[in-house]
Amino acid sequence: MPSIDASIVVPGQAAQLGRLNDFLGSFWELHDLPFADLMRMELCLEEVYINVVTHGIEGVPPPPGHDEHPVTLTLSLDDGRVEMTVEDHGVAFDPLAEEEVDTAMPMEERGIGGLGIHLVKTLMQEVRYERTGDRNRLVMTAVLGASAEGA
Amino acid sequence: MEIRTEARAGVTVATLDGRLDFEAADAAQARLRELVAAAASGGTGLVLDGGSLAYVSSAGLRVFLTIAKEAKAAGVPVAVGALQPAVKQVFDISGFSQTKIIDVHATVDDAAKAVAR
Repeated sequence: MPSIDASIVVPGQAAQLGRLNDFLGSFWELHDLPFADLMRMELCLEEVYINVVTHGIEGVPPPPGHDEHPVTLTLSLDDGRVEMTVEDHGVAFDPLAEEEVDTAMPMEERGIGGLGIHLVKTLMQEVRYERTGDRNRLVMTAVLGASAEGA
Repeated sequence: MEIRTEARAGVTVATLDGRLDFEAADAAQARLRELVAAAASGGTGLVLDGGSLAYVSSAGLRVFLTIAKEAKAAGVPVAVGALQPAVKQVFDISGFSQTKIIDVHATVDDAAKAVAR
């Protein structure tokens, strides 16, 4: 079991990204975690969260008892590893099952779709997806101090 | 995010100051689009100074891609200079550096030399 856990629930709106970032930043500061790892955490959080609010929950009624779609961010710290979990009640969607983006493609033929998840897969040490009931759960694991391996 | 400009000989230098994330992307793209148009009519090149760019996400990369395409169509040479290591890493992972989507230089001066007209 992870030794430290912290969670926040926000209404699934793009404008809530700042609150999630503040939460992540506070967690980083509180536990005195390396600043060098913070940007890749923020980046992966943005990619996953924005994907959820712009695609995942669009047109899907919120779960019973909610006026708006709740999105939950959980951070767990255990022995130099941070697990960052994003949960939502949107349509079942496994971003890891999407086709890999071709980063060698020339600019003229290139869209930007898929780049976000490519960044997440590259910058995290481990990413896994689970569908439990009506929930999507994306768990990203970063080994602190290992950011250079992503390059 | 704030974008400041400076006119040099044959080139406009735009300094990107702050975070280029999902929230900042639309306004930044609109501003850079204006700068591309101004560079096209003024016959200068355009340098994006990344020295103060603290963060870029895929939404920010989309801005670079769009501006690079539009600048090319408008005949404006554009280059990026002085990216911070963490931002440069995001460019590299995304293939922006390797595929020459946009010219990336170590310094603003190098970038300016490459695109000055």
